[in-house]
Amino acid sequence: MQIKNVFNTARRNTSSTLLLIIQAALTIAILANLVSMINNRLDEMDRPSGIDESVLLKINLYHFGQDFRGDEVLNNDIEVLKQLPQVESVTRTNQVPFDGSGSSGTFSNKPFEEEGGLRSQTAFYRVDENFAETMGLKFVAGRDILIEEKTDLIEAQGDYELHEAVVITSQLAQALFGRVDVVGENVYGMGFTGRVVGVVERLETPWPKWMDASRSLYWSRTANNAPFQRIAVRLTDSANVEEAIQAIEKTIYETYPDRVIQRLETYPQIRARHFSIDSALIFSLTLVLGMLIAVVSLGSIGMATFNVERRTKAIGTRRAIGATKSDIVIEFLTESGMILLAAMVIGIPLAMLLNWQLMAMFSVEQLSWGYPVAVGIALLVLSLIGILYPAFKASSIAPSIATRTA
Amino acid sequence: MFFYYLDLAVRSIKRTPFVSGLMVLALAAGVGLTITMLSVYLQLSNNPAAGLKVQPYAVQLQTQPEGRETGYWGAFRQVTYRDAYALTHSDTDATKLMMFKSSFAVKTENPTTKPVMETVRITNGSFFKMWEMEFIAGSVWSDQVDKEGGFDLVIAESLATQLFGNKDAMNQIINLDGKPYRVVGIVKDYHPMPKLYDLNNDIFVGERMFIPISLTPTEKFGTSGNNNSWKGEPINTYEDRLASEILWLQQWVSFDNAQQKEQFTQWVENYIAEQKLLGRFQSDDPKMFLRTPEEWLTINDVVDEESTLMVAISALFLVICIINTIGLLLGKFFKGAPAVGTRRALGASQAQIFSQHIVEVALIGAVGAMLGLVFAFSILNVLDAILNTGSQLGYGLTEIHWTIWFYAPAISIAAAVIAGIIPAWRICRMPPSLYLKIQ
Repeated sequence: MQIKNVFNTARRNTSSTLLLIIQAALTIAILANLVSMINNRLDEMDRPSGIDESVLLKINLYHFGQDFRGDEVLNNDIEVLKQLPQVESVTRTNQVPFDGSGSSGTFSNKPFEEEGGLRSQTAFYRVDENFAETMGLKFVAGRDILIEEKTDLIEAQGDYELHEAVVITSQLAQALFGRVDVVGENVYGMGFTGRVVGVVERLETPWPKWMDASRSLYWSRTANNAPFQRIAVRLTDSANVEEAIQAIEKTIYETYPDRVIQRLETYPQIRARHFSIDSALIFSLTLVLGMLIAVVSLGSIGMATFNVERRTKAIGTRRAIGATKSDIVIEFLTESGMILLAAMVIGIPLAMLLNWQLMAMFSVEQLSWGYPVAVGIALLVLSLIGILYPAFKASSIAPSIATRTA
Repeated sequence: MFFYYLDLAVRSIKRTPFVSGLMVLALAAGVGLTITMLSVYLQLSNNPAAGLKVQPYAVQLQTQPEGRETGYWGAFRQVTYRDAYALTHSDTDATKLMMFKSSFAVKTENPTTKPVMETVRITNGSFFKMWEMEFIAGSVWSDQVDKEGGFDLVIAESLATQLFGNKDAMNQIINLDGKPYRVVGIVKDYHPMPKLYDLNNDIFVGERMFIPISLTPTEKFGTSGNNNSWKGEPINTYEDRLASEILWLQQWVSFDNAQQKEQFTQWVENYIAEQKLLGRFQSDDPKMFLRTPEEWLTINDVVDEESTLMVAISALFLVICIINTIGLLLGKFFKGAPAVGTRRALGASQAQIFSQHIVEVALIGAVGAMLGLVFAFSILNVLDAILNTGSQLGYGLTEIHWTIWFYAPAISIAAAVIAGIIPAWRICRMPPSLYLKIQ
């Protein structure tokens, strides 16, 4: 009975019913894609680094003193900084995860001259013996590099660098060897070769946004007297970060004044910088999401109010010939529900279509069916709630209206 | 007639403040978001060389063998030192410039100041001419310095103020990594959006300090730009680096006339043939490409995918806002149908009714545009703050692009009118008798 009435009403107001269906269908399609995109970006920003971010600081130092001897100065820094009560340990490294600057190269499980090796773009860390402990790396196989295991330059072999000990990430081990425990294997790069002594669970690259996940390795650094130096400092668990930073800055300038702290950052700062475009995108997408919901729901309420006004006479007549108040309310709810169901029928495939279109043009991930279905159901519930007020208003139309205005 | 319609429109809007307000808000939201994203997009795809009197060209030289040029770092977007040097010092009349970026600890003679890091462009004197930079004091270093080297320095106005305050910065000594340089010129700050002349990194931050590239072999400057190497070659000394195949400099040329271009191209062709003969250029047919600024921006893929994506999303949102407005307008116009019936009966034509309603929606659109601009301005500020986190990107990316002042009202009114056409058409087609009867 209700359904027949709803169809009759819809036939008489084709354009507004169609508009409502189109609007809701488009809304489902866009909302589903927005929610999916926001979720994917959030996941990307949450990716683990494999290091103890909460207690780590990264410091870029630039030295301009004449005859600067990097190894002497920096090794002294480490000793002095470790005396500070807030500092647990310090390491010298050419790069740190998420920082955006560092070295990478192609690595393989076979020498480059040989055919058929597996290859992977890899971030390579040149570090001192305090690296694993300072960063808080977790070993899944083998051990850390030892202080006596150095890097040698073998000039006879075309300036090959030979690394006595290399530690690689489990992701790189998987990519090159198809398994995790690869202790004892050799890895080869352009001008490098090294023996794997340990595998860590994870060590993110400096550019996770642009490079394959966590394919990194590290070996011991060679002499480095360049003006630019980078260290990572591990604070004690109880240290106050602000106080620690002040103490560290003071110490750094005191031990060797002819330098500039180019950048001192905590991990939240490094991550915010690395993911600034993602944050901006998430902000923009969330804004669209919020505004879309606001515009569509306010608009629907507006249209429902008009509908009640327009149908006043018809409703009055129906009340006069016996329809109860609840009949009227149920009729409005049924109408709204059916519009939304129709919108879901169109909107869910439309969401997938929009997703394909976006995937073709941008690096957007595939949309799973769950998103448009969930969004459709949520909109259905919202619109049923939204229609309640106009429906009750309609149900209170007096039957006498029908007689008064003919 | 128009003002009469405008009066009717204002009255009609006053009669239905809630729904009219809703429409204004919906349009403001849709338009505001669209112009925000369009502004960011336009800012990114801006061609900062559009206003230059002489068009510069980026130089690409095919030094790599075939198959290597599309490696990890993309097609040869930079040049080697030896090629840049040869082309710049060629006996041709073109304006030629070679350069790279470095950073130094900068300190004035004032003992109380702390050293600061500053990015420095290391280039030859043509730089200022090619980008038409304006000197407010002094001038570029001499040709002599470009040939033989000299510790001269040109700084930007803002840096002069930062380092010396109200004092005249001309002829002051500034220490770069402890080496004293003399200020010979002060230029107006130059921050092209994006930084066309070097799109390798920090493409929204222009430099404020310029020193002669002729000092490079003796001072052994490091680079803070990108090094793209395709050849595994041992680099043990700075001389090795200068003689290597590493791509790390940017090179631009400009020509006053066609003869100059012809002469330069001819010279480079001979140079390429010579280098091929020496066995250095191993490509079958090594070429030089001269890229216009437009081509250069496209090759370097400056426009972030995210900004294009957001333009598409905001356009979709605008479509929803328009559909939403159509629905509301249908309801609103039909509510006023009895008045329309009366006006029609009194002699108003269908065209007049149609125009009257279009004026009304255009008014709603105009108000929506103004609100949308305010709205866009506040979103841009938030975006600017997020993007500037840790100075990965520079400032001003999200400033409102000037063309937006035309786009905003155009988009908004067009959106409103598109939304208004169907409802206005429907209402003007109503037979007047229908509504006269029920009155």
